[in-house]
Amino acid sequence: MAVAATSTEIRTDPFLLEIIRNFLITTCKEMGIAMMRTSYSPMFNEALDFSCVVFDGKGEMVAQAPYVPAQIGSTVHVVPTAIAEVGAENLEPGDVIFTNDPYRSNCHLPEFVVVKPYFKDGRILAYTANIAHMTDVGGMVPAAFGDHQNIFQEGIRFPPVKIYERDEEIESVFKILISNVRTPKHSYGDMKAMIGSLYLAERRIDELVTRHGVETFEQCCDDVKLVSERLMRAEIAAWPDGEYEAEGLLEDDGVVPDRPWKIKATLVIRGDELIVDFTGSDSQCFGPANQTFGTTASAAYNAVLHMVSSDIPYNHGCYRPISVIAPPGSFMNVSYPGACVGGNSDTHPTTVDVLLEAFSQFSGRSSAADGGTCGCIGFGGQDPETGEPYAHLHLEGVGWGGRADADGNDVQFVKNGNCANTPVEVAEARYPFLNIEYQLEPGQVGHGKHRGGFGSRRVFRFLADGVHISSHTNRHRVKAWGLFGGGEGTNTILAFRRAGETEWVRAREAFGSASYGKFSNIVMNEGDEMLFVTPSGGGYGEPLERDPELVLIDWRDELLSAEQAREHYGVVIDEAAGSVDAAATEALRSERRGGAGL
Amino acid sequence: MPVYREVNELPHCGSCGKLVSVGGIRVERLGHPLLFCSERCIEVFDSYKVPKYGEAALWEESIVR
Ligand SMILES: [Zn+2]
Repeated sequence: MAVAATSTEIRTDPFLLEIIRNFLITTCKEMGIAMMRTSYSPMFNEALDFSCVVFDGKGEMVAQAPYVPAQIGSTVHVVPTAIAEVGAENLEPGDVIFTNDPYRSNCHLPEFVVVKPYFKDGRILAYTANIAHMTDVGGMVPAAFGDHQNIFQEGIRFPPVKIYERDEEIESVFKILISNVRTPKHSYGDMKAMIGSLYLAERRIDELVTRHGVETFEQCCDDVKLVSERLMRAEIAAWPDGEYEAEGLLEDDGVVPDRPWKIKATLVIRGDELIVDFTGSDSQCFGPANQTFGTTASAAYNAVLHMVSSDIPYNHGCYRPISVIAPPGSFMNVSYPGACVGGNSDTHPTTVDVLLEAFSQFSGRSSAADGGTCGCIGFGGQDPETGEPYAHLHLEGVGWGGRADADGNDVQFVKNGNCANTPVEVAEARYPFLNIEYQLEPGQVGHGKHRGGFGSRRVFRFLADGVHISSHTNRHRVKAWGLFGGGEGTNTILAFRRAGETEWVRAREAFGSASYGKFSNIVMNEGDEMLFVTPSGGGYGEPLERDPELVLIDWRDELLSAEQAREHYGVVIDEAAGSVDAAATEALRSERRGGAGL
Repeated sequence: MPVYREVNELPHCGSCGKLVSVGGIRVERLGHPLLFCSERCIEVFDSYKVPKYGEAALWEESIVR
């Protein structure tokens, strides 16, 4: 896939172009703030699991706000698909299209896409759109993430249809939507927040067009894309032509025990164009870890954008020089009725890391692999106080991989998401559990010249009976890999104990699930507890090359012991003095380099 | 109302693999009528996929029925 090419000159005055470009980006940001403030669910107002975009009348993205990379990449394909299926000729002012169909280039079922045409003088000049993660979509588990084996178990699916007609709700569509989810009030409120933000953006675009005129607006839309395309082509042209391969594994699919699934990627650089070819990846899996085409394209864009200057304005132009190949029916492009909810959460970051490994063969901007999971754990049941059903999706940060110039970030949401976690106070006020522990998880990380980031440790205690827990998490078996001599990260731990017990037991042993991290509807009761330790990132570069002062800082922060400093980094810390023993360190490192090494 | 065709009845682009639910470009390649989502995808198919993969460049899902 590549988006349609263009070759015109830039005609807009550069100062005006920059003003209008930033106006459109600010409009996208304002849409996001409106959604955050008017929505009902913590997924919107705390996690910010949504993205806002503006497309031009040609159906090409001209602006986005930096919310969720996984969603933004898929909008490049799903928004034009939605418009084409309904038909631009069938749209009128005040209409809104929506869809959540993963087979139509959306990321997965919980992502709902809404698109509204902006009319001026009787024709469509732009589209305002956003994509957002609805907490519950019906299906067999609360909050969508589990060990589904097909799309019907995942929940309700809408092909692109209108949900508003001439500024009026289409009541029948809303009824179908909210009668198929566990949290009808939240879903209705969140959908209205999404659509409300489209109206806000439309008002802003109308102000812009009224001020500068239709012709200038349309020329600007073409020119912002052209600027981005030229900048992206210049970046790609600077890379050495050739083919660069890498492979990685997603540890299991939640259905077949201990069977990993291969992601194979080939970067093909030809002048100023890039092909990202996933031929050779495994066939689609039996569980929900499959990626959709939209997720795979998004992962490719995500990796490429990590490799280029962050000054390139993100719009349709950036994507023009990039072609993706994702064989239908493969792990990288699931076919109907394959499940795919976890492909967007856990396979996407691994796909990005496979691509970064391929990039590391010629680029210094790459990084070691990260914790590779969004930490999606769904909670559902009946509120003990109100009697109403609830569904809550928990997200968690992981350790990121070390990179050329810095250590990996600690407890940060994986690269595909950019999401925040739900604050303890908010979650505890709404749902029947307490967090009795939440801290950085010290100890092992991927050691390296720049080490991986740390994961976190959290313990939940349940306050009611019948809390249904479902999960799609990763890195229980396959660790984040290091780069250039850096070490592996650590595994995820998800374990349980009944009230009064002292031993933590993992899901396979406790509940007979096929996977440690992917399972559906295990039941926790009052006083039971759940432990969730997220994985750390891989290391970058040889640990013996790490600045001893950085090792000392980690020791002072109680992130490693003096013994670990010596063992992993060859750094001797004088604990009484609180400083590095430089002479002893130099001697130890030189002995290690000359000897057997680490 | 037009008949709704489920996604398993719809073709995928012969180069990128994206579902092409409406439109697309139909061309003859490797002895079959194939659907592509864009001119660029046809170019990638001809200049990269066929030279590299030969007959295996052809996906059943891209043949126009
Ligand atoms: Zn294509």
